[in-house]
Amino acid sequence: MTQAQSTTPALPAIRAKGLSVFGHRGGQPVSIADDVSIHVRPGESIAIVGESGSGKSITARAMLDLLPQGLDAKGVVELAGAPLAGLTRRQAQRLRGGELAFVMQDPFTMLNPISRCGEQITAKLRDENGKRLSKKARREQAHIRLGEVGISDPAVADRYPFELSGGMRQRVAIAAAIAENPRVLIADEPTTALDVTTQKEILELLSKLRDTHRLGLILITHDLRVAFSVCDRVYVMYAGEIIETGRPDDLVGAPRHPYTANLIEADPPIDRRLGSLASIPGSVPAPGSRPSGCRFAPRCQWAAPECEATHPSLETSFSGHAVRCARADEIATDLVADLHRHRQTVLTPLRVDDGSVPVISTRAARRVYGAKVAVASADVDVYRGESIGLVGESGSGKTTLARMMVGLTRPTSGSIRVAGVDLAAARVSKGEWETVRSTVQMAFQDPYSTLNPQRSVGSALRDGLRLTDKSSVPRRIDELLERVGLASSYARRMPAQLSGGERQRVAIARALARNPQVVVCDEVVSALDVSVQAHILNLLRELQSDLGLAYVFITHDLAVVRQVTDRIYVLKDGAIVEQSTTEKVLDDPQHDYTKRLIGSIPHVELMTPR
Amino acid sequence: MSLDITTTETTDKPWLISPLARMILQRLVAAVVVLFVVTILIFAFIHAAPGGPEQAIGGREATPELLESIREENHLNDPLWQQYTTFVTNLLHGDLGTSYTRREPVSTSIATAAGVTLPLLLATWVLSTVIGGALGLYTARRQGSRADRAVIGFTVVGASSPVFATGVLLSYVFGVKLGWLPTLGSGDGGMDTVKHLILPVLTTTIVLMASTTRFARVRFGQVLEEDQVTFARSRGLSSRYIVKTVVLKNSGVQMITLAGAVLVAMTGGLVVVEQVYGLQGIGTLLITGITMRDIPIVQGVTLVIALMVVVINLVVDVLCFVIDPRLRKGLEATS
Amino acid sequence: MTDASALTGGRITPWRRSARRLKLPVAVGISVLFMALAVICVIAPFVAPHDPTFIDPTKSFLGPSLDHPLGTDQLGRDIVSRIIAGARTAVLAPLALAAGAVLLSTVLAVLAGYTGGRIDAVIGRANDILYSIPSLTVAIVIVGVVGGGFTLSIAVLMVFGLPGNIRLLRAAVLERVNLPYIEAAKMSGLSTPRILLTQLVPAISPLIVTSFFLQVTFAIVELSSLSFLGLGVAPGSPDWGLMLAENRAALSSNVWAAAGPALCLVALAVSSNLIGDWLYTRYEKAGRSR
Repeated sequence: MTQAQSTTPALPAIRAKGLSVFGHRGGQPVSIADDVSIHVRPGESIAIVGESGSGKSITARAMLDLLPQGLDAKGVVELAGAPLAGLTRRQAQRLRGGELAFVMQDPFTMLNPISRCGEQITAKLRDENGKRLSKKARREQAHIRLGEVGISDPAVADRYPFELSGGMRQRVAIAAAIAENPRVLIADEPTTALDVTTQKEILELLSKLRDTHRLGLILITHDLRVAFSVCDRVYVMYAGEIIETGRPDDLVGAPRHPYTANLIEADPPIDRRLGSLASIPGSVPAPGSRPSGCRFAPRCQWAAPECEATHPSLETSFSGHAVRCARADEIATDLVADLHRHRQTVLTPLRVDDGSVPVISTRAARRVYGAKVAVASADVDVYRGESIGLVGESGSGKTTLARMMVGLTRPTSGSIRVAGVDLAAARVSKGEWETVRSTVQMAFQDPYSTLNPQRSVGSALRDGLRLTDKSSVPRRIDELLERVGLASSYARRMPAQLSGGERQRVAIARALARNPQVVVCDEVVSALDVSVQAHILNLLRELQSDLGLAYVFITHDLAVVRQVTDRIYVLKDGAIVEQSTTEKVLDDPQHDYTKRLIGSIPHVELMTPR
Repeated sequence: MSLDITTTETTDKPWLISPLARMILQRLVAAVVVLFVVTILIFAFIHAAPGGPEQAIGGREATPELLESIREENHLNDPLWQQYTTFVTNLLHGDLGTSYTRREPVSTSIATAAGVTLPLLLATWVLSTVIGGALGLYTARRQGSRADRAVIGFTVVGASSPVFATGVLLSYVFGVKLGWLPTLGSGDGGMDTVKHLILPVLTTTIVLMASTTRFARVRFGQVLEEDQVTFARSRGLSSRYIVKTVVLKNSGVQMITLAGAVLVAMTGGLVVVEQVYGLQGIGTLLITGITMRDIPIVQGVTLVIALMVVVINLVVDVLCFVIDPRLRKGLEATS
Repeated sequence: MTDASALTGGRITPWRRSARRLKLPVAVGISVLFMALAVICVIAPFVAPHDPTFIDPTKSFLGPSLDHPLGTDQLGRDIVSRIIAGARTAVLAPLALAAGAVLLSTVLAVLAGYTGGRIDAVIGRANDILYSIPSLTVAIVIVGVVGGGFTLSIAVLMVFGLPGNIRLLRAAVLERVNLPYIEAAKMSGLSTPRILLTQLVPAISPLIVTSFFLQVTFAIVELSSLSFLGLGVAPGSPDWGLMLAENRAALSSNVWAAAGPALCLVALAVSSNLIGDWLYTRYEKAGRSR
């Protein structure tokens, strides 16, 4: 997208200097974000990237003076050179929306569900005298604003949010946010809840608005690709502070902080299959338990004793590229060389169809909910030891299809054969169910609901183990945990004591408890941070080669598909529109929809270091 | 990934009447059925009970001959179904029968008693809903503050105290100890009646307001934590707008349902309060009817309460549909 | 780990929660103490200083003294001893009522929510009708008209205690039946009864516990209201509600004859309410996933 002139003399639209946010625990202040300095010029877009716990959202909230109760901020925020501190509530209210706008992640919760879209967009508009606009003027304005965000149908103004799709709601929200022509728009993960094609449209819309409205755009995201493809400058945050900032090209080509390099390495590429994905050991330290030296030091492969001793400051090297690492200069060449080497370990496809009998085979499988056709007619085969992907956006029917394959959803018609048992049959005997259960198992998307909050890890695994074989269950629990890389002490833990990645490991272990031949993975990594995602993907690959497992991957993420599958079925509106080997589909898509899907992925050459 | 809901097309089906009217009609039919069941239940219970009403009319000293003539006179010897048919037929003509003990039409007794109960009921309901709602909003916006904690403390105690315990303690403090207010009887009209109503109203209000506050605080608190409030604040919309258009509107369905439930639940509480303060209202009428075995009175009062409950629930349902477009559109989609 | 997840991704509610945390433990401590006291009175009514039924007309409405800490009633019976004797019905009956109502509600809610379809529709419809009926009013009419005793009061209030609990628990079941952990249990081949007992019921257990204590509070209030009206209990028996009714006319002679049982009722109801709330927050916090 457009490069901003880094030499623009214009005053920053917004600038935060030494912004810190802290909460309180047991009477002690606990810092959440520290000494964050950020600026964005009119017409420029910047990104703040970081994993969960980096403090990126809280920083944005602090800039908007919208911190949740119990959190306080320190530091200076200037809007067009004027400090925001010391404003009256009324003045602050005028600034918010008027000068400074905000769009949030979830279009389904951001709008008032029982107020019409037009009313919400025009709620704050006033005429020159500060009077509320007339009904007619409000209507007119609503239509204009909707047009600005690419909604040409004026009837949308009279709709309620629940009558619109996610992408439309996000557009309406953006229209409402920028109704007063603000200088700055802060967008907090504005596309995370959306499909990839919708994501592309929204990102393009934001870029367009930045240009037409001379907006300073601050994009907060966990997605490196989005950040690097859309923004002029990127700030990388870790454990509450900025650890590196610079232009996307510089960051991608020559990251100077080991964490940035690790993040880039962990992000799975779409165009090739890597030998193994880089993952970062350990986890992001929580506020209150952050190291006093370099906060990344305990997880850093380059860490030296000095790193743990002193807290490094953010040093600018050249053309605005700044890094918070004491050894940045020392390791610069090694870091880039490492990154380069990592990207070279390309793997060719693992397995090919050997023509044997498929373990799972669906023929004309169809599922209808009332008038809605979830899956129209699907023919899918899963062979022993292979890995297939069911790819599509929300509403494509991929999850319904997978659920039919494991017997959680009954097909309306057609046949689903699992190890010879037809799950579409009028009656499936108990013995046949046993066969199905010990053939195919499932792992689910949301790490927070995949485990029963009231039951320990051990008891979650025990159920399945007991049903295969009643002997030596405790020992086999330990073995299962070890298989997924967890210590046996985890058996006693409750789910609330586990991180998202650990929960997914337990969920995978639970699926393995019945020694299945096929594991259906329903978006197992989509809720995880990129470094944790890499852990899980590596684990899945390892299990596959150790146990000869076959996988059915349900995902919207083509980069993930590239890393772990041999064949792909592309679904749209309940129908399979394209199927072939992963390489063929991704490198030479035939169907228009597949082309559109691939074309929607933010394009960054993460892979070619200069 | 959240489910993407595509734009629903509003189909123009030529309904003879609007979906809302259809719904109301359905509910009305259901209400009639419920009332019918209630009459049967009341009737069955009363006639299954030991000790006939003739004893109540004739008094303890009545001779068997007298009792028999009373039975004859009141058609108590007819088969049950016949008595029931007569009862329902009269009912449909608006005739609730004649009280055995008060020697007047039941409708007259109820009307007199309602004169005492209705002011009490309405005053309490309005006060507890308004004050409870306001306190709920106040505390929801200041969660964790000292005021919030004080209010919570009050609501826990207020909501879990039996109304008669509160009543007795209040009448001791204001009636016996301070001597400010009368604690017994309905008063002789005018200011005196008002004075006599203050303590009963206060007693019931404390209990109901406490529950309302607790509920409102939770509901308002939920909405205040929603993204839509943050988004509205980020747009610089005033707190007035946020309270009015976001918080109150989005809690409307729950608060109306609550207000209806409070009104319904009050029927039981009022019986007790009227006993505590010796008010000659509907509740007292019911209790004396029960102790005197005055079947027409018990039947009449129960039916009136049942009718009230049915009407309240219907009104609540209709209001909810009117204020929440999601319910409304859902209704249109399913009809 | 809890700390880490507590502050991740902008979900900051734990901070608010801790800010909002009331000084409950003290209140809860007192509540537990009071409950314990009440239970002691139930198990060992002989701790009473006097015979609760001993009548001595010469000692009518005595004020508090060393011998009679809360004085006497009209018939000269010792108030403290009567309160201790009354603890049995005051504590046991609500507990039994709540246990019955919540147990039955759980069974019906799980049945309705898990099986869905026609069973759910029937239970739901019946429940809606029952829900719209004011329980205390109906209890007054039924118990009054039938003239039944305490057991009938408990039975009627138990039935009318169902709908609220069923609604709450059924909604909780519906929220969870399609969650991955229930589906995973199905996938691993557990039988339906086992899934219900070992997965679903534990998952909603915090709500079951809360419902129970809330129901105890309701039961205390409603049962005592009935006995205050003279319904369900035999005249003259040492019941807190009845004592209040008997002694309220003599507030000026010995206020404690009415205030004693009144305060005990309030304390009992408040205690169970507070304990329920507190258990819920603790339970929920322990199981809270994020």
